[in-house]
Amino acid sequence: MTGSDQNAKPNSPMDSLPQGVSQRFEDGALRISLPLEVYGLPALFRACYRLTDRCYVYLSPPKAGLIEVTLISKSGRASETDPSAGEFLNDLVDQRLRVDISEETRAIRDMIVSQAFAAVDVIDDHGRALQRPESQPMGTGDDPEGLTQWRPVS
Amino acid sequence: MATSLLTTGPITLDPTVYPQSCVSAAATAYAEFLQLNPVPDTDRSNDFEIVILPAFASNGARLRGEFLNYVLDLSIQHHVRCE
Repeated sequence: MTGSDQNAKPNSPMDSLPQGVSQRFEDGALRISLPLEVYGLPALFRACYRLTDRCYVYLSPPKAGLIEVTLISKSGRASETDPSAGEFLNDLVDQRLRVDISEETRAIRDMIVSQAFAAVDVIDDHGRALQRPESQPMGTGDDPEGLTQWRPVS
Repeated sequence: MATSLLTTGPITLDPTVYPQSCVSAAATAYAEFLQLNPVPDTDRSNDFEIVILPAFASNGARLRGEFLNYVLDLSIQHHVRCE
């Protein structure tokens, strides 16, 4: 380690932002620019919502795949937006993951809800879809499993 | 709180983020405190001026901020319902 390294100021975690993310403090507000392709609007909305108790939040019109989030501390102390920004970026990853998992597990959730309200078993004890009678074809489009159509023959 | 976002100037409420119905609902809810007017002489129909009513002028910045949070809250509810 050289002398100049020893005197160097330790980096703040906010000095190394994820790729594609930039931030600037301007006019009393923290502005964070984010790539929509990476985070997606649903995750962004959820992360913004969680900040609204501490900050005023404004989303600029998306441009060229980027969206700018403006955070203004409700207390009026600009220094309080810094920790909120770090928290916001972490929460953004968390929310993106939740959105992805929700999408991945949508089919099984729908099946469980269908089973809860169905008059007959639509899944077996291991969670596998039961064979349906040949007289009742599979569904199409939004309901490929035909869960909403499958009812016992009366 | 020096930011111009909360003090002066028009604001763009893009329909991708802020659906028009949510902007209208928020404007109605805050009608007692402020008026949301489309910016005249512009083609950009998503630009608005937030005019704080004189009785609440001393709390103008806070009201603008709370209005922005409220319209964002309505918009998020709208988007989540549509998912």
